[in-house]
Amino acid sequence: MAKKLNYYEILEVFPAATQDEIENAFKNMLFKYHPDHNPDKPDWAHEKTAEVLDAHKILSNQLRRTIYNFMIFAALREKPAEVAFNFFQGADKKKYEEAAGILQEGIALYDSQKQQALIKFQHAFATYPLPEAVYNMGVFYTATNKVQEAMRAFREAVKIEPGNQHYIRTVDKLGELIREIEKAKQMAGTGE
Amino acid sequence: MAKGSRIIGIDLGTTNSCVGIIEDGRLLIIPNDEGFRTTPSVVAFTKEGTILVGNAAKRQQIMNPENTVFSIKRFMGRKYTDKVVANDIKLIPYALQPADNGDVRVGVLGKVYSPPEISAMTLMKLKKDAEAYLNESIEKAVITVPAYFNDSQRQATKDAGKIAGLEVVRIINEPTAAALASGFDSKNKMKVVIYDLGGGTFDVSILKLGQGIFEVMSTSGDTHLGGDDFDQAVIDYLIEDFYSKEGIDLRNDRVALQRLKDAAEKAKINLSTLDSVEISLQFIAVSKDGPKHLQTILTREQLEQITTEIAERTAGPCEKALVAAGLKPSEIDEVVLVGGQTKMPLVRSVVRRIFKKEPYTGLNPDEAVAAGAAHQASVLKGDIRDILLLDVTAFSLGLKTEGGIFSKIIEKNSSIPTRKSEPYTTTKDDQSFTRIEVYQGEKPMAADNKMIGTFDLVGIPPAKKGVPKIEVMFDIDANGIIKVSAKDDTTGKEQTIKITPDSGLSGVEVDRMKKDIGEEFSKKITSGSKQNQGQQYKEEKSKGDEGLPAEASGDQKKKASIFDIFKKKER
Repeated sequence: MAKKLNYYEILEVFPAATQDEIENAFKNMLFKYHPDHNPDKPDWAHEKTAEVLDAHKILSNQLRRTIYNFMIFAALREKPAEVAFNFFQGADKKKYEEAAGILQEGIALYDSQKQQALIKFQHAFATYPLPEAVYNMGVFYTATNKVQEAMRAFREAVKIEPGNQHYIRTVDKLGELIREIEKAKQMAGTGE
Repeated sequence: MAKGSRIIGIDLGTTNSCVGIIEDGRLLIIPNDEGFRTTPSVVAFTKEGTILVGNAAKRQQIMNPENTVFSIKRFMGRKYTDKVVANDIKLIPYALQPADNGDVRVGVLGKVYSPPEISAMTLMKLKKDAEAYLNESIEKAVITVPAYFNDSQRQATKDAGKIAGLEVVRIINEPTAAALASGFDSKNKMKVVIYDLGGGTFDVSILKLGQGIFEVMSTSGDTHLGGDDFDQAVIDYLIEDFYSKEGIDLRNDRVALQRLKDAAEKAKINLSTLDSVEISLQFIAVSKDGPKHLQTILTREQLEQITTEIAERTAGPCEKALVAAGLKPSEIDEVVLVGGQTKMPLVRSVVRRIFKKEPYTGLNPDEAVAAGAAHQASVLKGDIRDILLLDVTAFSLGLKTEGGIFSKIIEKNSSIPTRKSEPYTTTKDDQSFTRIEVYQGEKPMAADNKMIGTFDLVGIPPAKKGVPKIEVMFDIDANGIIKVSAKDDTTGKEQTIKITPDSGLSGVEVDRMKKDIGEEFSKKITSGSKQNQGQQYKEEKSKGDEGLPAEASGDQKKKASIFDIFKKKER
């Protein structure tokens, strides 16, 4: 199966594009793909236009775009980092490998059965405190709109592996995002 | 007749229909064979075995109420047990009955017709008149429907087209069509409300215009609110009035009811320009003292009193549409009125109050929708390349999940075309089948929404539970019509789906109807007049007493008096 394009790729804009650039790209893509302008290939046009509309819905709104950017940034961690030197002894090493296996199972399930994947991540983490397992739990919570739980999970990952710059940046970025969401909520609350 | 490639735009209205086409970049409203620019959506079956459509059918309605079918649009894609249908049965003189699948059927002279078949007869007449006028065959059309039509109602409209021998290249929403016809320069950014109150339905859509794109932001409405309801209020008033004076209940007399309907409608139309009208129906009933006449004066004030509640019912959908678009009335640049019922001053004052703005009345309320359909036809033909219509779905689409809960997959007011996919797997070992029930609506319980159909994924290859990965795709196409498909995610192969729609006609039925009606119609159809060249005939007509020529402007109409026989102008 072909890799799914991300929303920036669908609209053919750079991730740093301004909102005006996104709007212009959206209009151009619509004229290019819309079924009304492609009566000879309706199925293709339908699929392409649906993608363009999805991409525009997210990228046209500053807050949605920030959340989306965060979700691209905080993607699943594929597998535990290679350990540079072998300090594992006996039982620990076995546990570590078992946890890594469960983690992989969770990642494989993630696209089709998120809830099942979460159970795998939790199981992996309980088997051996892999930072990747708890980080992936954070990814799950982000995708299911539970930002506070996501924050706790990402902080846990930092605690286990304090030197990992990616984890640290994830926590910072999520912190910013939570502040933005709060601000948006307040504005909605005052009716502005 | 030459074989043509042109696409016509059809406004298939509850009470009147209208046909348009873009010719050499200019809009042409195609007159019917009597020279009128709109045609009543009325089909009559005579005892002699003829089928009458349009003006001819309307003219004989009083004499033949049981076999004259009007407002069929109200029953398109509906179940006999629908609440709205149950209400209407009491008001219409022709007979309704349920089909095997529960859909509404019409019974006339011992024969049973589906609503799409009746609509197809109107469409065939429109098609025939357009062919005669353009002197070439017409095979394709854009047909409009209320934005608030659900999947079954859209499907039924498409079927009507097919039965009539028309390929429906696109179904577009009436308010959106009106926006296309508005003539607002879509290059300039603006936000427009289309307030469309027709003969039977009410739609409100909010659009964002800019760079050639007509983007619908939100839509709302009521498929059972329109001019007919205003007429009914007047009828009820007249019946009450007559009962209190004469002690006779006219409700049981079908011919009297039909005469009352005509009189009510005419009075309502005339009271848009006059302060009071006299309603006079001679020999409406007979008592032991002899014949009785209904003679009364109705003032505009009285009319407004008895219909205020109906006009106010449009406020709710307007507010919903504003909220969904995230706009305040002050952010709206224009409020455009469409549909015959918007000619009523009371309706205009309701609009003024809701949007705090003087409504835009520059569009011909009777023709704007057909004009928009004609524009869209031109886009689809490739003649217009710089405009694009982006509509939304008026309903949420979702599935029945555990406990009968409705789980939304596509939210209402989502832009279309749209596709959402959901992963499916099995919950038992070697499970070969799983069922998906699809609904449209906003209620939390699936059963309270409109069922679209049952989709069975069959022939899943045997495997341990949770192993099969099936991706189910829920599509709403540019016509607002739902499609469900599935593929096996591991092999990429199409997964077989057994589709059982909850309502509608099967492909076989549609083909049979097309054949049957095609034959019946070509043999028996009479439009009640000779073939005429539209333009010439129209001029003659305007001098006659048959009614106003359809192109008369609002100002000209003001001269009309109660004694004129009006052609019904609502859609």
